[in-house]
This record gives sequence, C-alpha cells and structure tokens, in this order.
Amino acid sequence: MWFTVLWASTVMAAGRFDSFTARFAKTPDQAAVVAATLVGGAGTEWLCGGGFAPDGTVVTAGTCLGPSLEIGGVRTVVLGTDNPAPPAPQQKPVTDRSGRPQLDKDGKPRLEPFSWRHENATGFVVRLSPDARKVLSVTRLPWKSAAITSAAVDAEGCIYIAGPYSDGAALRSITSDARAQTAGAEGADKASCQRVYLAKLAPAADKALWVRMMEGASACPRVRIDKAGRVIFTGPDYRIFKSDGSVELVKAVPGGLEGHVAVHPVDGTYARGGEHHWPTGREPWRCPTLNIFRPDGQLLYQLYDWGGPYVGLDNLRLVSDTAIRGVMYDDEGNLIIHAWSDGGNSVAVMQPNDIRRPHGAFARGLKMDLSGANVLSAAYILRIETANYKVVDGTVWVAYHPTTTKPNSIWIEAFALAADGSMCIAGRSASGLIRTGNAIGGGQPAGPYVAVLSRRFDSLRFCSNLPGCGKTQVWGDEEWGIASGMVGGKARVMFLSGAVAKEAIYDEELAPPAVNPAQAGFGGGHTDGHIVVLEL
Amino acid sequence: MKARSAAVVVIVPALLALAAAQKTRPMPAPGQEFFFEPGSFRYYSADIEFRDPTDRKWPNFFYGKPAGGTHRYDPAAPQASFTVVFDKMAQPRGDQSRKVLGELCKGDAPPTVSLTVSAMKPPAVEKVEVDTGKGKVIREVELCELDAVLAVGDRKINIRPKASFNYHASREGAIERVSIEARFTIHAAALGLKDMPGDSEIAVRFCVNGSVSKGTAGKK
Repeated sequence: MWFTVLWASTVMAAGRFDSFTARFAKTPDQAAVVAATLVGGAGTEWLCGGGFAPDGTVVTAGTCLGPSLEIGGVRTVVLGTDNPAPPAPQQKPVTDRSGRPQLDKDGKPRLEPFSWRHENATGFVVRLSPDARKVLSVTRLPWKSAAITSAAVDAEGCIYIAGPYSDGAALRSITSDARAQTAGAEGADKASCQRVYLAKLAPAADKALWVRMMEGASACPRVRIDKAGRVIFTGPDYRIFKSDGSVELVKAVPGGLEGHVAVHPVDGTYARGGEHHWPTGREPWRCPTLNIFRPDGQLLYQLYDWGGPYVGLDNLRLVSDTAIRGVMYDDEGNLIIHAWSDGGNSVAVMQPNDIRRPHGAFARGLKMDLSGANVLSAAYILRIETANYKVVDGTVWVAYHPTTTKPNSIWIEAFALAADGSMCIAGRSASGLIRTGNAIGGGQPAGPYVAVLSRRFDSLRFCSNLPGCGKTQVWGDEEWGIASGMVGGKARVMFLSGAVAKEAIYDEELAPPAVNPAQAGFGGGHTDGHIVVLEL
Repeated sequence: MKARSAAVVVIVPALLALAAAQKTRPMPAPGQEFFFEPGSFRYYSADIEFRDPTDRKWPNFFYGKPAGGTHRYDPAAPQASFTVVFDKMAQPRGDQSRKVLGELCKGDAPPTVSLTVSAMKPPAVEKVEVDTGKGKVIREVELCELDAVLAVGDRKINIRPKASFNYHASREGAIERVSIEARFTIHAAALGLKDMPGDSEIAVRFCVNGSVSKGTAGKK
C-alpha cells in the first residue's frame, strides 16, 4: 500500500514541474525580452537602478570599484573634481566571531560579496540605446566620493541617483547647486549609513543639476518616482522632493527605515516587517512580525504576529517557521509583502488579523502548492488592503524538483512593481525553477532568477534563471535592482545586478545570458553590470 | 445571566474529522479520570475565540492553561468539574478598538477570560451543520451539554454549550487526554460591550484539554 502511495505521489509531484512549466510556457500576457547584456569594463562594477527616458533610452546606474571604468568604447564623463583612481579591489574573507576565516563546502575560504559599502565605491551612470545594443554615454562621480544604491528617471528623462557618500567635497564639486539638508532617523535601531545624498542629473547625464546631502543615521538610500511624478527618497527619513531640489515633505520614521519598512503613500502610517523568536522548545521558532505604526510611531496593529505558543496549539499547528522578508505599498495604499517559510504549514495561508480564517488567495494566484514538502524555503507574495487588512491577492512561489516528489527551495531577494502593476521579483532557486517559454538562462532550472507575475499574481509573464548574475550587494543586503517605466505606451521593466564571467550551476559552467547584447562578453574585473530588459 | 446556546452548531472539518476518528480510536474505560491541572501540559493547551459573525469587528484569540478540576468518563453518567484560565491574548499590543473585545482591553492588558464547567450531561446525537470546505451539510454527531460559567474580565455569564469530547490515545493505544470543543453564541450586552448593539451576536469557540496525568508535565 505504501509503495502505491509513494508511486502516486511521485507521479503527482514530478508532474507539477512539467505541468507548471507547460502552463506558463506561453501565456497570453507573456513579456517580450528586449535585451539582456553585460555592461562593464576591465574594472569591477555592477548596476542597481535606473529607468527609461521618454525616447526609450535605457538608463542604468551602479557602483564601480576601479581601478578603471571603461565601458562600450565611450569616453567616460567625470562629474566634478576627480580623485585618483583606486587600486583594484580585493575580496575579503568571511570570518567568524573569533576572526577565523569561514570555509565553503570545498574547503575554500568564503569571500564577502562586493558591496556598495566598499571603500572604493564610486557611482556611475550608463545610458544605452532603446534596444540596449549600444552604449550612448558613461558618466562617473569622482572616484571614491559616493556610491549609487538607487536611481530613477522622471517623465522628462532627468536622472535621479542616490546613495551613501564618503567624500563630501568631491560630491559637492559635481554641481554649483549643492546643499546640505538636515536629516536623521529618530531613534534608529540600525543605520547602515551616516552620510547620504540625492542628486539630479540632466537627461544626457552629462551634468549634475543639483545634489542634496544629508548627514545622520540613515538606511541605505532609495529613490523612486511615484505615479504622480513625485520624487520619493527614503534614507534617513521619508521625503518628497520637488524637481528643483526643494523638499515638499519630510516625514521622520521613528526607529528608522532600515530593514523591511515601507511608508503608506496616502495616510503616512508605516509597516515594519520581520520576525521574532520563541525560545519555547516547541515550533514555531521563527514567527513573523508585521507591525503597522501611526505616523508618530505609535503601534497601531500587530499583523501575522501571533506568537509561538498560540500558533503551536494542538488545534492549529501552523508550525512552519515564517518571516516577513519584504514590505512595500502600491500607489493605492495596499500593503504588499513577501514572506519566507520553511514549510507549507505556515501562518501565511491565513488572514493577517484572523489566524483561523484562510485568506484563500493562493487558490487564485499561480496555484502553486506545498503539498509533499519537507523542510525547505518557500516564498509567498501577498497584497493586503489597508482598510480592513485582509489579503486580496496572493500566491505561493516555489520550485518543483523535476525528478523527485518534492517542492524545492526558492528565495525572493528583491521585489518591486512594474509601471503596469505587474509584480517583479528576483532571487535564487534550487533545482526546479518554473521557467517561462521565453527564458534566456539555459542550463538547469536553478540558480539566480528573475520573474514577472501579473498584477493579481495569477500569471507568470516571465521567469528565467540568470546564471552568473546577482553576485554583489547593490542595495542593503539585496543583490538585485528593479526599475520600470513606460516606453511608447508600454510598460518596460529592467532587472539589474552584478555578474561574474561564469557560474557553475549543477556542474555546468554558464555565462550570464545575452540577448541583443551591448558588449560581446565579460569585460573583466570581479564583476560587470548586467541588465535584462523586458517589455510587458 | 443566561445566554442561549446556539441551536445549530457550525463545526469545522477538523472537528468532523475528530468525531469520525472517535469511532475507531480506543475509548477510555468507564471511570477514567482526566485532570485539568496547570502542570498537566507542558505547553499551552487551551484556547478560546470571540468572533463577530458579521466580520465588522476583528476576532479575539485567547489561550491559557487549566487551573484545576477533573472530567470522569462514563457513557451513562459522565462528570465534569474544572476551570480553565485563558490569560494570554494573541496580538495583544497596539490599537485594540477594532476587535470584538477591544473595548475591554486596557492599554496592552487584555481581560482575563476563564471557563468554569460544573456539570455535564451524557452524550446525545445532534444534527449539526458541517462545513466540508465544499459546502455545508447536516451531519449527526455526539455532543454533551455542559453547565458552565464564562468569565470575561469582571463579567460572568452562565452558558450551556454543547461540546464534543474527543479522547486521544498513544500509538500503543493508551488513553492520554481528552479534547473538549464547543461553539455557542452570546450577546454583546452580556459582556457589557458598548461599541456594538446589545443584541449583537458574538460567536464563541473554545477548546480545552485534560490529561490522564495529574500535574505532571509530559512531552505533550
């Protein structure tokens, strides 16, 4: 009997990889791949953000570590007074608390990923033709003056760049309109930066129009343009800039914006996601927290924060460890989160304020399920309306091993909404990533990936593994940047990261994908920038 | 104050499964005692929820441990006399005003809820509406009427809920615990709630456990 059950479940689970792959091979709303290309030279560089100019020009921004920045055979424009180029960067070994190097499974020292925190960090902007085949311009900040962790493009094509800075004099030299602004998170528990900036560049990126510099505890800076065209900057606080560099609104966020924090665009409340641990000896150990705060920092609602003793009751037993790993609001004020759990028995299947009522949204999403899963990493994406805090859209996101009975691990490391509301995610997957028919990665269905889900999370518009990509920390601890905009009336989305020359995925050496590439191959250094441009 | 028990009890599939499983599981020997002592269970073993059937208010979930007493299994003349205290509330911090019992929460201090059962009647077959997940059907299940007092803060309400008694055994077949679950409704006025019309119904569900072990926390 058990053999029969095992055989049946084997067929069922193996079928899930095939059936989902077939189901999403060619959806009616499938995205078109415009380009996938490395963007880098002999130095070490990566990309983190950007957008699309009204004429379709692809704008990318990132950080380079030197010792040079030579991309696409184009002369690099240096803004301001330059500093000497730094020496080639070295990767530091990962050490334990006693300072001893940590080793990987092959016995080799583990190395820290390159990050915007690096002492050589220098921001740069590369503009490419609308088809991304040709580099139009390369612009760099003075060496070691400031990194870029985020960028955006407004309706006029002006480019906004943001990041931490380390050489204030050099950064000020990029424009005559350089001003300091007061800032500082109130009671910030953590602050990854102490000095941050926002700068506006002309559409051709050949000159800086203004730069605003802020000293004080700050989260890793991020800039975006909202649906109304406002420049939203988050770092030490949440502030809205006018196009002339003046500040329209400053909203301090008690506790700071570090971690998984997002501010409601309409009412000023804010959400803080994460997890806490119950040392009870009984599952679940890791419990999600999703707290909603009033603008003044007073706790308004605890969502999904049930506590281990209740979740572990015999008549509930939603004991899979779960954590909130990403938080944002859409322009309508809906709260969107992504969560991780180590199994299917997660509180993520329930309403945020009613643990005994399933939200049912997963049945309307991609319809992936976790039946048959052992301990693994699974992901969930949920949209929660904020009038009554009920889940309105949601999906499970998981891999299915092609040849075994089991769902397999997947991680979401970054997420963002495209200009048309589609959900864009990036991360990494164990074997069994469900790829769409227009996937560009090749090789085994595993490793770093990017994906675009429909607005209601019920269709997979694009999903591909991207071997070699996502190898540097471009914002916070995240390895991916996601940018979007409208070109010719259609939404475009761009995934940006740092890529190595080749990556072994299940013993197969693969290069980062190239579609209509701007450059023939890897430029050198430790990493190049890499982009994938999709039309939705 | 007497509150009426629900004439029709809506039971979730889990309860149905338990009731079905009861037929095949070993039953206790007549005279078997189950203890409701604070140390009978290592972890929290009891919970109670208050729910607005119209969903205008968010539900409240409390949990706790037994405080003392026993249940004696006897098909003809079962006995029950025990108290369970639900002194913890899930999601206790922040603004509680949108919850059913929100106005009874003072700051981060929720009201203490307790259930004291003083007597029970022998099981009787009842027709109940069961949500199978694919629709509601009428099924026959065995329920025992309890004579109990529900205390919420300083309010005490006499109730006569009809409860299912499910006995759980080890793999070797030795009876280990009883799980008692009931659903009933009370009115907002009975709790002194002012945020809701007094005749508003509040659906209540509780689940409490008793152990054959007296005051000895096992691995349960």
